[in-house]
Amino acid sequence: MDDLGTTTPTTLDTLSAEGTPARWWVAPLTLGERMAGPILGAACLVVIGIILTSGSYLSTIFEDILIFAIAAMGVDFLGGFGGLITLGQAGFVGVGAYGVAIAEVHGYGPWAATGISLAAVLGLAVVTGVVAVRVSGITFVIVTLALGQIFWGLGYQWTSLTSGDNGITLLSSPSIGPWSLSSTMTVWVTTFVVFLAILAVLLLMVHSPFGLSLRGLKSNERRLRALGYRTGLQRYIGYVIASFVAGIAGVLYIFSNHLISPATLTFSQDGFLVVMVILGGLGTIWGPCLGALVVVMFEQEISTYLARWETLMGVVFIAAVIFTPGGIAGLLRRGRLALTRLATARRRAKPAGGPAPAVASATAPNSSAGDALDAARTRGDGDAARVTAAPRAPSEGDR
Amino acid sequence: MSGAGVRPDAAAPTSRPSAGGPASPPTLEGREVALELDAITCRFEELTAVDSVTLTIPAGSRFGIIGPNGAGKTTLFNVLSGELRPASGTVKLFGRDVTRMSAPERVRLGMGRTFQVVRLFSDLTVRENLTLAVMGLSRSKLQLLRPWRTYRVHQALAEELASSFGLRDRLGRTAGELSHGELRELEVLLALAVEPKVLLLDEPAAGLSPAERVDIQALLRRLDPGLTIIMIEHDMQVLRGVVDWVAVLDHGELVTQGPTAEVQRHERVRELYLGRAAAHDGAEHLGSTTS
Ligand SMILES: Nc1ncnc2c1ncn2[C@@H]1O[C@H](COP(=O)(O)OP(=O)(O)OP(=O)(O)O)[C@@H](O)[C@H]1O
Ligand SMILES: [Mg+2]
Repeated sequence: MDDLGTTTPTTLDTLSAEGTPARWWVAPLTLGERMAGPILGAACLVVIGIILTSGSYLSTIFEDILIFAIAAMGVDFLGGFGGLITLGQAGFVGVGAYGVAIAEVHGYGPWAATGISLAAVLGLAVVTGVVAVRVSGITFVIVTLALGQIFWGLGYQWTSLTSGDNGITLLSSPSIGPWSLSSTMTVWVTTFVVFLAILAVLLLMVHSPFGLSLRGLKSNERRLRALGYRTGLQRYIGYVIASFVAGIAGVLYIFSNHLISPATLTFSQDGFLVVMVILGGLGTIWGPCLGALVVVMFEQEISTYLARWETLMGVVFIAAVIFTPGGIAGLLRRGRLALTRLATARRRAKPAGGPAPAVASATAPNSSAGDALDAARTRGDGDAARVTAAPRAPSEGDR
Repeated sequence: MSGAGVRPDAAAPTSRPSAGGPASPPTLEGREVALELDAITCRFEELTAVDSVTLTIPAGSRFGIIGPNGAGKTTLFNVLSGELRPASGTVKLFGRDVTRMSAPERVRLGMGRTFQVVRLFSDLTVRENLTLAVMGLSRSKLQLLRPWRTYRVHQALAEELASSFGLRDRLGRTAGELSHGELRELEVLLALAVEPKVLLLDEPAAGLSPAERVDIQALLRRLDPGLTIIMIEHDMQVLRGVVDWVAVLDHGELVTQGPTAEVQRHERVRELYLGRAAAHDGAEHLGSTTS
């Protein structure tokens, strides 16, 4: 920026000396290439919106997908960024759903029930968090698993409150003026809006200072402590946020399904959430939404042809873990990189004034293209490393 | 090693100020005390890694700690920085008893440290590493929705720090991609980012090339003279370039302490380093110790 002129020579030096300049690859990206991801994402959202409002049977499936995607994003927030995988989030989905149903049974209106339910979720997250954040790593996984099982056990056995096995049916849905959640269309739209809001908030959070510190926590907790971070607090906040997000998914769940039973809190539901996150792409927030799409589709579609659909999903999951470590998100990103590389190579092959702009953009230390690479790295799978390590097609500009 | 046999006479200069020996850097006599260790003992099961070490380190001093491998130097640092609780003894930081305090609390009171085996956020970029470090003491690290202005300030500080030590054109790299020398630099920069009043450096020059050693010495000498530096270092050349007072540990015990040149002439120290030299590629160590 300010000292661009003075740093230029050194940057050039390092270019030739090191052979792998930091931002060299991304520099020639066109605006279109850089915007590809966001545009694709927006397009997906539009398609989902159309499907949801189409009123077909797919609408219901997509509603389920979005609800689980919300919970999965919460799991990813804590797991993909903070390195803390929770196996108890279905429990909070359950608390959110049961909270509404039970409050209504006790005579509260639907809005009050929603408030009570979210407060209960928050309260439970705040209390259980005290236990959960004392441990990390595999112990954390086990503790959250145990907490989830306690919720499930309560749902199952505290029959006076939960009606046990049969579950509770929703009595009434909230409404504002003409819009009532008793209409399926309104539920679809509401779910979509809430999903978008949570997606936006979580994306904002992972790029916040707190998000950075969560990634630091995952990367090297002892170092983070030596820099003055009270990592327990970090973990606690992350846990409460993830649990609250799961609770919101639970509230949406009861308004869309009208029934909550202990089946929703089972261990396999916890497992599915984690599968969604890992299959979709840990540490991306949007990846788990794709994971939710795949898992729910399996559950709804494949299960009609194949009774053992869970087995098939297990196989798919294992294959995915082995062949695409970054999940679906990683796969997409790799595809995009390959395309970019191709386009770059083609552009460079054209002669006419090729070298000059390439060098110029490579030497601008704060070019927005450079930041794009940073952003790509930020999302943290191996791809970024691959970008810089990629063999450079020898270009005229280098000689 | 017949440590017990040598100890009586070796202990003489280390005994408390009242006993007459120089127990703290004399040039800094009368200054505020930055760190005070009183009979620190730290055990790992049977092994006594640090054995009743008592040291007084005045503010602004440049303090070296040497000793053979396994002498307990790093363990002592871990006790000072709060990663380990000592079995007995107290640590005082600027007069305040911090023995029971956690590591992050001590950072808040002005303690910064590096690690012998570099500990960085290896999947984060250099910029992010430094930003994290700069945010360490600010409230904004808990802000959930990006406060653009303060975040920029932190990033700018991070970049300034990086340029102060030639990591400027590495800002966008992940730390895992850096060379060993750059990793060591980043390790020191992270510790400096929390603006410590007491800086603990655990072998900052280990594995560096001669040129890089010169660089790191230059960096350390440039630091604010008010900063207290405590440095573990095997390389006597680097050590002499930075510190003026040295304490010697062996088998967890404080063998002696004094001005660098004096300690190098100390018979027991030479013996320790001769032993070390035999076990390692110690020719240069011996050379620099005896020179
Ligand atoms: N966490 C631990 N558990 C058990 N023993 C330990 C632990 N940390 C250190 N030790 C032992 O304590 C003794 C002192 O170790 P320390 O790392 O403090 O030595 P050092 O002086 O830093 O050595 P070096 O020069 O090799 O870094 C060694 O014998 C070591 O094996
Ligand atoms: Mg050590």
